[in-house]
Amino acid sequence: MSETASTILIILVAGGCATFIWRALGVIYAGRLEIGSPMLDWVRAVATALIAALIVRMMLDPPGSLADTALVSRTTAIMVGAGAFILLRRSIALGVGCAVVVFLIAEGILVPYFN
Amino acid sequence: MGTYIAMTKRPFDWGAFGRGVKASRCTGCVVLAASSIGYGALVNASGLGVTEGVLIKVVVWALPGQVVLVGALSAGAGIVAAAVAVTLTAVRLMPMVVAIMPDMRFSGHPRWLYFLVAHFTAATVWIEARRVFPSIETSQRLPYMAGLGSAFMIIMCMMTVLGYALAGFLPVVLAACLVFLTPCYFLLGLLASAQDRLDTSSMIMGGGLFAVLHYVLPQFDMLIAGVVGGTMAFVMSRLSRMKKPE
Repeated sequence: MSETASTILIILVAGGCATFIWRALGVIYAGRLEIGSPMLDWVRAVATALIAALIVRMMLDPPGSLADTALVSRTTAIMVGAGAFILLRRSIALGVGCAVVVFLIAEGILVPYFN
Repeated sequence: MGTYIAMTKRPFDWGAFGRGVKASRCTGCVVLAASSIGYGALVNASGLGVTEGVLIKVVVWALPGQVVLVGALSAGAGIVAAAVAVTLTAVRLMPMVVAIMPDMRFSGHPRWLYFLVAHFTAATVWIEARRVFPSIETSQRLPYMAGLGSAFMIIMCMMTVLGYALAGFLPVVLAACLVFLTPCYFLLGLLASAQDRLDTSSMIMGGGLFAVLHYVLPQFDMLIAGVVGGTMAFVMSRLSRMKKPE
């Protein structure tokens, strides 16, 4: 199988099918599954832990151009973003905006200055 | 038709499809657009093609799954490992669909329509639809969600292409900043949707366990951090609930 064909197969099966199966189960079980049951709590806990792991991975081992930035810039900026989100009306747009500003100041001005 | 049978078959009000399309101009759309630009930049940074990035966006249609799949493809992971990682991020979609389906249930319509709109269920569309549903007729809800979902999908595919292109010629710092949008958006999204102590402890367990495992067992760090970290947080919340019964 060619490189492209196998990539498309992985996208359709490991991406499309692996995701859609849960939406389909949701349609099938709608009205028959108790919200707040221990099973759903566990599902929520694993999904949340996985996303948290994903965030930490993008901090410690970031992809592509992000890998050329300093760990301290990334972590400081994301922390400031989270702090701004909590303090400023819990707005995701404002929080992300603050994180971006801190990131750009750190990477655009501070890191070049100290190097 | 099973549970979808009702007394009479009444038509959907497809005029609401257009209302759904128009409703895509919202704050959620701006945030999602920014995250899609970031995703496009991530696809570029991971060495994948723009067509692959857009295809992943359309068939997965949930940012965590998309990002996991991009990571798996760029690392050359096998199809099984990739499927397991993606499916673990997608389980959370099931309760979201379960919560929204009863609101749309409507006299004897073909079930494939429900499966089709279920595909649009992801954080932003879900929040927006749930916000609007109480104020519109039941006959308008499925068409509304279909309109909103398809408009979002088209806009976000364009934003993915834009992000991919921008990452190619922007100065390095700005390109890196676009990729940086994804973890920021994830963290704030987790904080925004955190309902109780279980969510908070799952975040801490998952993130903390990953940080340790990343240096010890780098091949399986994601899966173990998610499954073991989440399960540990779940067991802790069960135990503390048992200790102090209400």
